[in-house]
Amino acid sequence: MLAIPAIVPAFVAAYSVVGERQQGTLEPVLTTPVRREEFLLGKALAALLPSIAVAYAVYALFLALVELFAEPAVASALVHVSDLVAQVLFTPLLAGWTIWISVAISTRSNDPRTAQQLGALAGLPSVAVTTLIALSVIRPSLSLAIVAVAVLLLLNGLGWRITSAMFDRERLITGSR
Amino acid sequence: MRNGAGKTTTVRTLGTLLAPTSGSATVAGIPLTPENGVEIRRRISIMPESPGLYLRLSVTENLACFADLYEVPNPDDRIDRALQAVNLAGRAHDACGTLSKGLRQRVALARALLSDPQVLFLDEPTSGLDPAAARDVHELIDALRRDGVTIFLTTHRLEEAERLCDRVAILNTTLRTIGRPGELRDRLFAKTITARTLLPLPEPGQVFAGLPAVNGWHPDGPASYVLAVSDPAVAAPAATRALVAAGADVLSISESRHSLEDVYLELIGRDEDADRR
Repeated sequence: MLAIPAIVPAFVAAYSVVGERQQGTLEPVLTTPVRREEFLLGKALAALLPSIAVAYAVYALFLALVELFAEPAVASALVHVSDLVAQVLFTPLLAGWTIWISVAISTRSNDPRTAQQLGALAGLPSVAVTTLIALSVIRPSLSLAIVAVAVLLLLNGLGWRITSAMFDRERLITGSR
Repeated sequence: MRNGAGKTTTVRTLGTLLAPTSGSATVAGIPLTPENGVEIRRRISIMPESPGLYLRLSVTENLACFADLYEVPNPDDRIDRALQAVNLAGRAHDACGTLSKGLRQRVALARALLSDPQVLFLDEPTSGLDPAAARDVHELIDALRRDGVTIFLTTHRLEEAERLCDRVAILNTTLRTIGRPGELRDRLFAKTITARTLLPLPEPGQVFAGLPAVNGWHPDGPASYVLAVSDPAVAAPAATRALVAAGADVLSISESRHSLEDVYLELIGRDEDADRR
């Protein structure tokens, strides 16, 4: 289930800057007093919120279907409170990290499709980790979760700062440099 | 100014979208530096050559989006006023994708007016418009000028510049000249008056010799004479009296007026001559 926030937002976020540039709406926005950090945060949130909503909705649907149709023994094996907490906590953090990578790619790409493909690739490490956890190759624990939250929070903060630093207004408008 | 002269680059540089490579400028009273970019953009507004509207959003939704970006107080009121100013109140709820190019330009102009800018940059506002739509935009610009808005307009239509602008700068990758249209004409061209008579004068030299404020003359057709003058207000009456005294039937005496296009072509011609040398 954590693969959804690791992959889905990449496609939306990768289109965010290069797509707006391609349709000619970027320059008018850049002529306003909005700071680049604010602009990029807005783009990230525009990708984050629907991604979180979709991920939570799918997970809620999964839980509902398990509760309704699975054998009790199967349901109790599949549904754990710890899983629920992990899903709630890690969904926005994973999505955020994927989004910052994709937005950064979008600020440097000339084509939305290229940006989306590269953004999807950027989500693969997150998918790999969540898959390894799901297969019990990496055994989840409270300490691991705390470390993972801290790392993801740091990565999200760094992602915002690095993406802001990569945002070249002149290059985006003229296509040169 | 011709294509590639630097009009849009100038607008983007003064609008803080591009960093200048040298020199300095002050925009809306603020020095043009990277640190002042946000503050400058609060005081100016730019209408790019391409409207850049969100085509799936309505006119009002587009304006509301930018009203938020400009942090405009009372955005609904400001949007209404902007739409009234561009005569688009009746199309407020139409999707921008359904509008013609001329109407989209008007929406873009309304967007530029939302923040009540001190300086309004219009980059080729009538580009691609038919004459009727262009005239509508001209009237809007005239109205803004009367309201005291400083407008920085770029165009390659010299008649548009002559009609709308108090001061004109001519670019040819560098700034070639700047001034009021009348000053530019006087700077580059001698003042002349043209006298037309019904029949050719038998001795035009005798008629024009010694006239006050007349520095010389040359024929411009069988019965037309161009006089180089220092003061048309003095030379024209004197030339008229001289022609009548000589028995000529005067058809017209008029000051020859060079257009901004003549100024531009003269400057560009000099540039090309300089390049050849």
